[in-house]
Amino acid sequence: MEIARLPLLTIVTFFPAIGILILLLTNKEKTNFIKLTANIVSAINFLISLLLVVYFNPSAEGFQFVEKVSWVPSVGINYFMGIDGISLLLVLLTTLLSFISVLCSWGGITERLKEFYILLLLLEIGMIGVFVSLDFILFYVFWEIVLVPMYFLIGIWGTYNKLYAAIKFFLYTLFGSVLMLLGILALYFIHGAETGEYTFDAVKMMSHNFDPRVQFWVFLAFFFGFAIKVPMFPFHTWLPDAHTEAPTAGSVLLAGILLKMGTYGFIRFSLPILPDASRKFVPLMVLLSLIAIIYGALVSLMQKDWKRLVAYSSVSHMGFVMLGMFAMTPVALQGSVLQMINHGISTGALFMIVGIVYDRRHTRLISEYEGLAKVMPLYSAVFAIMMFSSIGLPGLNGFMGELSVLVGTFQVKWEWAAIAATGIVLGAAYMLWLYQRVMLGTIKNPANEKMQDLNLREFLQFIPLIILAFWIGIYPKPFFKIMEKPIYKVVERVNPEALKAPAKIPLKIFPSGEKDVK
Amino acid sequence: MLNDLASISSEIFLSFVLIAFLIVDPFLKRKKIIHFLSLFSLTISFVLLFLEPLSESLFFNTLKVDQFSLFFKGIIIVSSFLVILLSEKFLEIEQANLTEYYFFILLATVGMMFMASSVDLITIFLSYEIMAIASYFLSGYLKKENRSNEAGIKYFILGTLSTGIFVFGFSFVFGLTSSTSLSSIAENIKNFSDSPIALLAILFILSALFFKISAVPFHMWTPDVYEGAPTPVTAFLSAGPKATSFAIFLRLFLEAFPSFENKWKLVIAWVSFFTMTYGNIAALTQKSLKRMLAYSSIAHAGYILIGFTAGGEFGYWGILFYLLAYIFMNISAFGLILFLRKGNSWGEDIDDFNGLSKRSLLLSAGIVIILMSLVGIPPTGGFIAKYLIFSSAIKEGYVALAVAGVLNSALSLFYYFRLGQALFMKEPSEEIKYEPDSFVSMAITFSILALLLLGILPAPFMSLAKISLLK
Repeated sequence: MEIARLPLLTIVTFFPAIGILILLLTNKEKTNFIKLTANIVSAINFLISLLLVVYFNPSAEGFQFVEKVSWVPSVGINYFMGIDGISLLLVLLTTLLSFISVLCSWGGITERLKEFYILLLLLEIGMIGVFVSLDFILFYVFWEIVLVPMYFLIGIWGTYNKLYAAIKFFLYTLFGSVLMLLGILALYFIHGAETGEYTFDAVKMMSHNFDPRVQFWVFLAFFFGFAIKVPMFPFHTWLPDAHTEAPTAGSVLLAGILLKMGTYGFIRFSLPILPDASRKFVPLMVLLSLIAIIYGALVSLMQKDWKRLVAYSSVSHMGFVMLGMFAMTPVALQGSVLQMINHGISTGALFMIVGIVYDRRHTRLISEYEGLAKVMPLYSAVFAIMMFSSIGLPGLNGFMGELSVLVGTFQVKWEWAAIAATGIVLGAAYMLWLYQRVMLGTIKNPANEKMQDLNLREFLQFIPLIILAFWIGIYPKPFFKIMEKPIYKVVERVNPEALKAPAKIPLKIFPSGEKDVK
Repeated sequence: MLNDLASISSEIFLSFVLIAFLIVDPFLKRKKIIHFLSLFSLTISFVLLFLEPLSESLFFNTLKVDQFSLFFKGIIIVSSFLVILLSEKFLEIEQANLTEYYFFILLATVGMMFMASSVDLITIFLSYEIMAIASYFLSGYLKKENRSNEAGIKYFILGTLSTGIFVFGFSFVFGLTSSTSLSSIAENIKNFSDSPIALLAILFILSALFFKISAVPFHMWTPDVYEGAPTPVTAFLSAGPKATSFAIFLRLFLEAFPSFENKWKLVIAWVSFFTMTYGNIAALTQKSLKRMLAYSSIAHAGYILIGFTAGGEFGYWGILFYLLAYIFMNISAFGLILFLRKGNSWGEDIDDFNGLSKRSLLLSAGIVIILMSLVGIPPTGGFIAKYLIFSSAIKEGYVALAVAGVLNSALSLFYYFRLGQALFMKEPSEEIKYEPDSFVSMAITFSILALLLLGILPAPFMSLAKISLLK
């Protein structure tokens, strides 16, 4: 049990810093050494994060692996880390996708490798930090740290319109996060004035009942911070530019992790700390989510650019996550959290799939490709699996997430579920049509005739994602089990009625074997 | 009386050094030694600060050495030290006279140190003038360069005008209260709370101070002077004198005019809003780094004024911490120009920094840290400073001002990171020579490390700022 006593969260968060230090001291000509170091460091960090699963106790209440050290005592800022089931899943997703995106850059990135890998590892520190922080200022620090490396990743290694996309991403998210900071400060002073304890400790704020009017304004401030990151409907315009112009690794992490920071913010802070305001905002949030689902799908249908299509599909999928979250039933929330993971898996993989042909042909136009399945059979198989995972085919992960979201939403209002379901149909339409246009048919463009199929490294980077897609699709119980406790806690706080009427509303669609919470 | 002298030992020491410079100068063969002497004497005077006994009343109640003045004296000495580090290479290349330059820098430093401890209108005025006159000379220091001459003259004319307004305000105050000491002014002026003369006096004093800290609508001189002045002097002007002006601002309004708080706060609130907004919008389109930083320093004055408006514990605390971080940000940002040569001049445009990361990755990474601090992104000192300032606004209920402040600081990202973009995302041009210099590097490295320290381990510095608040 010695390992369990180590400050595991600090280690997982800051382990990539070792890689950064080594890379800083390395001559930039030693490209293989640089690549190898980055890969090894991110792989080890993934293995370390698996230790969290080993020592995590899913049936325990509250936060685990807690580390708390006073940082700025005069104003009550703590170095306070801890995870529950929701953050554990996201930390694992982060370490996995970070490793995969380091791996998938092996061939695609050819210049300024040293800076590239330093920024990727820095990004990993920031992303993990966001998911493990329980002190608001610490959370904000990591939240902002993420922006800087991503800005440079897009701006240096991006394509065509990279400068515009990079600054647009940075400005948009910064506008949101500074407003969020004001919300945090307001909570701090109000909590301090009401309890006499001035602290940025988010856990203490979760058990304090703020005045509904205060909650309203703070929710609005948080909304700007988180909704821009998700991105929710009217704030999504940075996303297609940033995702499309970013290098493959950047797109994978943007879609896979950075968007989850927004949804995570809602479920970790907005819902439990501001339950009254959250309930009040349900109609607006649901409306925006439904618009995002339908609008994102329709815009995806129209895209001529392969990568832009995948980018817009994120808007639609994140709409599902937000819909499930603001349906506020246990089932819907489970679906919402699972859908966060699923989106990371399937969209991350889809971006890598685009990246692979982009590396070979340096174009992303759908019309440039046709009949690739003939020359790239393995590639087309991987693409098919990930496409079905994204569409939500039964047996794959997307189905489980979308099903739970729809079931949970249906219990609240069937109309919402009905509209969302049309989004699934549209989703199938644009993905299948894309697949048909690029993979099927005959090769007409001679440039496509000699396209190489996946090599071993490229295939390997998909393996963990494929395994996860099937695992979650066939046997999702362990995932539901891990997130069960924290989700009940959130529901208990934000929507206790949902727990009181078990006859009408099934609390779980996948009972874990323990006796039901009544 | 002898005890009184001990309380200003640091200033006395520097004054002796100044006189020594003038005497020794004609006999010096290698004038460069003055550079090291200045650094050395600033170090000694910094150490002497720790030995200065605190005293409520010195020299017939004209000076006061409290934690507040010690804090600012420390800031002043550190910023002068960094500026001198920046100057060595510059003066050598421009072939300017050495001794006079260091003389004026140290003279201004002494003036500012007295200003930080002044509690009497006469000493405030005198020390203010010592600093100002030295600054006028320094701005016009490069005789052969038109821009520098223009800057010197412009600064001089507008500066004396503003001093005139300052003194005009003082004379009204004296007329009403028959006193020049801040504490007795505060006692007597209470009785005139409805008197238009008192309001006029405060308005005059405010206007002169707004000029000094370059707040809208008295900011017009800033871009021209900052652009025209020799670069190390610009760094100097933007740091020490700015911090000291805020010190005297705090001292005057909190110690002499607290009874008019509601009135001046209203003025400052609006000035703060227009200052940060104007500074940011004007900075958006600048091509010259110096002009851009000049407008950005206008914007920063606006943020600091938020703390002034909000007041309370957090507000004044925030101002002190902000100024501490601010001197490091500004000196290092202006100092960057001294790395680049373009033909016979300096690389003063943002475009001149194109592709610098390919020549020096470490420096470019450091510049990004400076930029992050200027925007207020953690983990840098700039973030903690802004956090304290915005905290005060939220705490005291100035939510609209806080919203305007954060939106402005997000907007500022756009122009600051044009430099980041130039460093990493553009191709270098052959015309620009990257010439690192050990003294300049030292100053910039020190500033960057200070910014990181202020951001990552802010606790001791925050307590330092807190105990230095005016009682």
